[in-house]
Amino acid sequence: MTSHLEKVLFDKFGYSAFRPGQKEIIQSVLNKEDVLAILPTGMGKSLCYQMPGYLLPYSVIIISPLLSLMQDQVDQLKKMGEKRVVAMNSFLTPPEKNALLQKLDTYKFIFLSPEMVMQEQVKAKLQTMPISLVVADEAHCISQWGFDFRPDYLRLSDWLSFKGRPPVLALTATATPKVINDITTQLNLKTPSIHIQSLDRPNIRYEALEVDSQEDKFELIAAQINQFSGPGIIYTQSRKKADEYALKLSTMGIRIASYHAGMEHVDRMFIQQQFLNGEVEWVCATNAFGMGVHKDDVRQIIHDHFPSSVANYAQEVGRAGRDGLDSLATLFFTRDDEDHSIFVATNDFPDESHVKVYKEFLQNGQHPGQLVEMGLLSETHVRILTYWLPRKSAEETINILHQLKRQKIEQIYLVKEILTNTSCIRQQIIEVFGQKLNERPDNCCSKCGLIKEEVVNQSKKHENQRIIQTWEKRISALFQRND
Amino acid sequence: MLFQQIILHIVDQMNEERSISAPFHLIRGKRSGQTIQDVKIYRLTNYFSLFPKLTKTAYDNHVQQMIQSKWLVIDEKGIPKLTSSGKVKLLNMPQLKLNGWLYRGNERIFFQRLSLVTQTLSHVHAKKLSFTPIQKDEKLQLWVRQFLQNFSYKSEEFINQYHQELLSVCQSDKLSKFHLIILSHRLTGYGVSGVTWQQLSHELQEDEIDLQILLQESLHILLDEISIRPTLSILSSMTEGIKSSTPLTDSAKKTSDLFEKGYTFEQISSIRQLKESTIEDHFVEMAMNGTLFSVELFFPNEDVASLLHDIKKFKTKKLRTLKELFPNHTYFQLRLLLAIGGDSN
Repeated sequence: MTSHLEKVLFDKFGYSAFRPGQKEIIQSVLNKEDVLAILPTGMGKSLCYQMPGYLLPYSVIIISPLLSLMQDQVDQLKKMGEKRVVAMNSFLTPPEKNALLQKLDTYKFIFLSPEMVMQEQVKAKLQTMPISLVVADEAHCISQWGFDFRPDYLRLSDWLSFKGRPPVLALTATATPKVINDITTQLNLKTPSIHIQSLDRPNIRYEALEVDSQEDKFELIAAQINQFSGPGIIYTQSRKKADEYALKLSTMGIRIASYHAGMEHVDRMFIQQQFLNGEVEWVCATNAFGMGVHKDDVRQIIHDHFPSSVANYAQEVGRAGRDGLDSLATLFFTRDDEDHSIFVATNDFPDESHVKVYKEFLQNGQHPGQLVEMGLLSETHVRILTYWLPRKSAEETINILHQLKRQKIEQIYLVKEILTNTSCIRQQIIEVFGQKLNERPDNCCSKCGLIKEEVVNQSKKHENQRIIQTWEKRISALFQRND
Repeated sequence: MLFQQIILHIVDQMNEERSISAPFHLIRGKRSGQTIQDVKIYRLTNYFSLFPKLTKTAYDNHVQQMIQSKWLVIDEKGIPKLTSSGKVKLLNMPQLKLNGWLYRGNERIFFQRLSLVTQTLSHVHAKKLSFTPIQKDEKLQLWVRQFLQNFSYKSEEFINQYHQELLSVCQSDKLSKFHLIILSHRLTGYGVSGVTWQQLSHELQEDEIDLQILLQESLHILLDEISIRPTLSILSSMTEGIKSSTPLTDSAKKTSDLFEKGYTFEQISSIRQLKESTIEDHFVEMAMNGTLFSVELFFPNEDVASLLHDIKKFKTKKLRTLKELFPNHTYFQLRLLLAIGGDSN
């Protein structure tokens, strides 16, 4: 059995060894147990259902809360040559959906959003077709104690209550007792086998540095990049800033490109290719960068702001050091940066006045989409209100919105607190996710003591590579006729 | 910059008879009676559908810049006009080999095919079959998959032939080095990353939008070239459905088909459940494109030729002015006359 799993791992996935916890999780799944698995983000949780998918006879249903996450998983499987993979989301037209439902059982991996699962047609199909495993990805979203509560996820509760349902695998990177309890009860897990990995990433070293002004901040970022080697990612808060930083740093001779959602899809793919191929050493990006970028040797993550939550911070720095080697995460901040982060996180959030406008509009029998066209509400406003208002009264909605807004602000204060007080950054981060730190690595963080030279390499001066070649050379390179 | 020169050119051709939004609709390739008529009567077929996704904000910014540069003035009725320095700017404009009316934005689909086929064959050639497709549109991916399956696309001969056809078409003397640099750096393959518009703009010291216009131009040149060189057999089968087979818009084509089957104007309007004014647009479009139908039908007991002659004397294409001069004719009749008159002067 043991050697068999390792053989599949190598033959199918090309890895010679499991990452910590993977094998035990996979064995529990193959034993048809309900499983709750807690793994740090980006440390190979998709393998925990991909591999059973190949070893079990029927389809695997994966419920995923985020469209982009779903698409990334689908792309990964397709890249491995898997053709029996499909994502069903609200973008499908009714005929496309019907055609897909007809042959749904011919797919091995079926990705669904929570609201899809609850549609009658889909539900009916799922009840009649054979299913080997149901996966709840980002399962903490089902808990209102989680930092990312998705009310839609609660609907899974009804669906998973029927007799003789397939085994469930819940995956998350949160380990607080309240969240674990919610996941277990809401997903109706039966005496689940629970696998908990340490959520700490010991090879990532944390640093938080206060600076006096935005100008100083840029100077220090530039100095750090000049001194220490990449590959690395600089996270900023706006498209404009990403472009500005990248432009300034490239004139200083750094191989860097910007990346944000304002660029066309193909251009974003080009930057990913250049980063993977080592043609750019640095990417200066908004938080749009990361999903779908599978690069194991990222050595540095730099932030010029406080991210909107500890989870987001952990996810962004977690893109460093996937190969297990030492990496550095540095965050530069000024005294009033938190105000700006709060503004960014809440400025597009609806309040009482928006609820009133929306309500009146509906009572007049008009379509909420028009509110956006008329410039009265933003798309985000409408999206959030369209979710809550049919479910709650106007008054309750206003209360909920107040609460959510306060939570957003508190999250930013928490990020700031963790990075700016005198306690260990590492320890505080994993406490947020419900664990205690057992062992502290050398050079743990800027508060425990950190000598950067021992963590990251000195940067090497690169020959200035020409981006532009002759067209003949490029076409030849595509078909490898250069040598 | 090239893009602004194109706007200047359109404004100049429109002869102070159209508002500043008319060039915008034309560049976006709007399928409306008015825009399609503008394309023909002002001889602006080349720019039709140059940027189907151009935003109003981006367009307005360019217009504002041109006003500030004093190339353009807009009067209180929103009618733009070139200044003398705007006219000088226009004189410096290079001749573009664009053919927007023929390709109508479909050249983009051709480029997507070209880029995905190239990426696929480059990986097949390197024996690396796992890659993320550069084009994410699933319909396009399906097209490329089915297209390649018609050939033994994994064979060296096929890949070699594709490579040779690509080299051969790029050697066309209608393409400049600049065209080819842009085109080749927007392609990607195994070990060869693409280059973004921002990077190209920075390296070549040209505006992004101008580089995009030049890519568009190179695609039109490539497509023309492929259509006259039957030896480029792989490339030519990649142009399937790219060139529009009828000069008419889809809706006008339906009206035209019904008309050819013998239905009258009124019958077509009721069969298609469209307003008469829409059907009128279609007939104007048909007249403009010389589709088989005689405008005399709408001028019982009148001499169309002499009417045309009278109209031309006034040298205006502005309907309201014409209506004042010919109060006994309908707007529809006058538009028909403009449509057939536009081509013959």
